[in-house]
Amino acid sequence: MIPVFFGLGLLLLAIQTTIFHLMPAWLGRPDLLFLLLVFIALYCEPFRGLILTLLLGLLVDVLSGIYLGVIPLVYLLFFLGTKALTRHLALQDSINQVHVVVVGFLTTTAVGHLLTSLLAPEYYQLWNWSLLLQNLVILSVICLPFLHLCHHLQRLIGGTPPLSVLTFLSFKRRSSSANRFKS
Amino acid sequence: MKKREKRGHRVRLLRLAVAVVLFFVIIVVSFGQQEFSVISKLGLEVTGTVQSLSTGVIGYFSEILAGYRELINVREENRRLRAELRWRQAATSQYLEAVATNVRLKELLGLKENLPDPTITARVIGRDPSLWFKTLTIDRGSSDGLKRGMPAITSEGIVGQVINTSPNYARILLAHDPNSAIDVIVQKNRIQGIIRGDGHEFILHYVLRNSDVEKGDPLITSGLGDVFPKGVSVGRVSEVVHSPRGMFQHIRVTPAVDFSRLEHLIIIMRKSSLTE
Repeated sequence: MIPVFFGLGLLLLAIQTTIFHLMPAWLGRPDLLFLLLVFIALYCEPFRGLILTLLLGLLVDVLSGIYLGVIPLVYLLFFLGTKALTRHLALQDSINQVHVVVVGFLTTTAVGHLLTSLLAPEYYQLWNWSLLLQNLVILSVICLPFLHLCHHLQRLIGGTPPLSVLTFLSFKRRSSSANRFKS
Repeated sequence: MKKREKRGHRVRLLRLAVAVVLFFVIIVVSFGQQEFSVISKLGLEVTGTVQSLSTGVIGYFSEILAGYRELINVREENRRLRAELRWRQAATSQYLEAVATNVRLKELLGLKENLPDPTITARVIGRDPSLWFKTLTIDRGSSDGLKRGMPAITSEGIVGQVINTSPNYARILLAHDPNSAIDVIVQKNRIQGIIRGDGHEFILHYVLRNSDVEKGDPLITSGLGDVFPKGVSVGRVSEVVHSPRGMFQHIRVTPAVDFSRLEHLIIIMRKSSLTE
């Protein structure tokens, strides 16, 4: 599961950093990787989810920002916080997923900003409400189909061993009877 | 049975707690490092390769689309370009003559020729995924000789500086990021100031209230700090506000470079005090 979702994260990151920047700015550049993080925090087993969160955090850290280490820490805190809340609240219900995405995105952005300001006051970080709200609206609209897609992917890779995806697509072998005269 | 379940649960919890602590240690160790660690370099290599592939695929389809568009009015453009070529050839001939005269006169004066710094071109393969920083990734790295602090420019003007490198890729901090500061001068009267980015354009700081700066004045790099070579275009003054208080003017500058349309950059391989 980890390689598949890590690959998906890498692909989303590549889309965000290349294709989205070719499109007009007014269309928005949603943080698709954050939706994947929400999925990992809500539905993945804690240990695997933790590894995935750290790996994706380190990748984003390499491509974004100039103060290393803040993004993996924020992602890790988000993962632990969401996992802790999932034990007490029904966050996995589809209605609540939108709330998790909206509140989670706002919180992680604010915590990241705060941490950078505290740990490296010499660095300046932009804060743009219009971009933030635009991102929030887009994320809240696309989060349900995105999470549904991730569920489908998880079922596909989780239910069967990796190579059996091919056998799943191929025809089922007929069971041959011991009696060769039997029609 | 219950005891075994409880024990299994405890082991799982312990494993998770150890993993969390270990990950926190990894993150805290990497805090505030200016230079990329081996893990970060590996990360940039992996993401850089995916970005490079993605940019290549997009570029291929964009070229096909652009090819169709360029077919329209191609004859008229061809005629115009031929006329421009004739004019350029004449200008080049004059330029070569001027260079030859310059060299001859320098030899006569016994001046030591000032060799320009070597340059390398790079392709932009990705941009910052976050909303809060203005950086981009290029397809040249430390194996090409790139080092932290080297300036990046285009034919239009300054772009930024190299901030991190891996063997095959590097990241550039764009000049309109708030963390970038460049020493500049107003071309017409050599008034000095420092430009900082605000995410969209530049703000010119430390220009005294009585200094003569007007809308439309071009700015160039001063060469101080030994990072950018002197005389590279920075932008034009777009707004000057004389506030009733304070020592300095509030000046906004429109960048010479359109940062949203960058495709190729020139990296100047100059060694400065910031180059590590």
